[in-house]
Amino acid sequence: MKCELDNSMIQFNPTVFLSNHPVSVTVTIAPNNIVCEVYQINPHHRNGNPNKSQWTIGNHEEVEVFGWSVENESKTDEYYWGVLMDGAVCLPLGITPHRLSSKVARFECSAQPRVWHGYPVDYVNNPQHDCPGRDVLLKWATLGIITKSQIARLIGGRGWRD
Amino acid sequence: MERLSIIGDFFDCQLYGGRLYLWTFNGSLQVYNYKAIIREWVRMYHGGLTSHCVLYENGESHMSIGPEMLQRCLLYERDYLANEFPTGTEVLSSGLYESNAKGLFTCKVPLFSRHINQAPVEKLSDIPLVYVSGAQRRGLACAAGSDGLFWLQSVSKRGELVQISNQQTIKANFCSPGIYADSSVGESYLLVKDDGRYDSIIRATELYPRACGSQITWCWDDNFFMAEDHMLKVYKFISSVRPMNLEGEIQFFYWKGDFVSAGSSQCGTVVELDNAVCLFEDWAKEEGHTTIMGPVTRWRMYPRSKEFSSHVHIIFDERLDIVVMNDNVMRWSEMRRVGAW
Repeated sequence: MKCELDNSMIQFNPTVFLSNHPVSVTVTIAPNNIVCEVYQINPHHRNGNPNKSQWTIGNHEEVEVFGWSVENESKTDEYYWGVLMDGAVCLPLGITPHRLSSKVARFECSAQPRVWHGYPVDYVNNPQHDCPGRDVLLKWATLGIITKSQIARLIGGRGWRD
Repeated sequence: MERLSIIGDFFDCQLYGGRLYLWTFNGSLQVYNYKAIIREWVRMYHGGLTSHCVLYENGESHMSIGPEMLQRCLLYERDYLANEFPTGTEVLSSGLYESNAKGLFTCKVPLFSRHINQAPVEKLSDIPLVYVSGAQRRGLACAAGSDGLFWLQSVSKRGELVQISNQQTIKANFCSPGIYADSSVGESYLLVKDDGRYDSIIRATELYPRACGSQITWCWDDNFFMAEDHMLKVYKFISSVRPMNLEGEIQFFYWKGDFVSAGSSQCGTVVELDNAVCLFEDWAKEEGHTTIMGPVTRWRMYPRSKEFSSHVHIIFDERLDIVVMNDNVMRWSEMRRVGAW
């Protein structure tokens, strides 16, 4: 499956996304900048476990959000950060252990083998850990995903308010 | 209420020692001579300089200071103390403080410099923080989200941050009885200081009648405020063993949205909602109330300021507004003190 956005392109292989099945994600950011990563849906964030945040979007959307975060180089230190956009609107993509809606996903990578997985973050309860860093937020502001006032409220624990 | 707009892309602000500290969205910290800005405002006000007015969406117009005029009041400029958006800022005589997801940072505040300043930055703690507020003799109260509330006892002697609560906390301020802390997922609470320690905790449900834990609460001096369901209620604190007296209630229009944050000082109360900021000079009077269209990035009051305690700073997308909560104080008292007339 190919997903084409602006000048970049995201390719997934295989094109059926199942829990615990690795998917190769190839993102062509520019002709000389191609990123290849392996993503695997973690069933712990889809099994209704009340102690873990849960995705409320489909498997394919989860993998696409990861592809989007790679494509937009939304990375700080060891994490990629993603959102689900519908046009200009940022949609909820999961719920937190506090049963609050979440619009931000964090993706982390296991060391060996190098496989990514992700989950919705709890930026209301854990704003000190669960908010993207400044570089990512600036990028998202430039893309029109988040406003300055939304950034201030997000990092201050007031949530992502529309 | 009188208003002055400073045009620019700001993220946070502080006022201390006659200086205005502005954190810009692009990562710099600019320090301005605030008294010079106010003098310029007075000059425009009395000169009737309408060319310096900005027209806002709601039809109001206010005087403004543009980048060129602002540049003349610039004392110095530097980068953020750490390359993260500050979640909290504070300025005390001991230094400038910034909290963020990487910890707590400080640097000295030079008194006389017109040059780019790069005073060395000291990292006081690795604990990720979402808010910091301080008082010279009471230290720093540091909210750490789900990691709780921490206290730096002395800003002059430094030392380690001490955890004084494990309750989820996103904001904490010193008040008469101790430290009042706000939570985004649980109850707010009051930590009462006793024998130099914050051991005694009073939860919001014990403080406020009919509190359910989902509202915004805050306090100033011995006044305690609760905002929920588009209603603000003001209580008077008597003692930790007696129920508080309800002093007044104010209803908010639904279009203003849900409550986001609030604070009070001796000059009034600021209530931030999703779509507006409301300022109350006197909550008991209908006319002592101003609504400013939002949303806003940040607002600050300066109850510890000797000369500008009635000034409120509100940061919008493209400007910072200085709002004076009491016009008479602005014209006849504070302007005179800064030598405006």
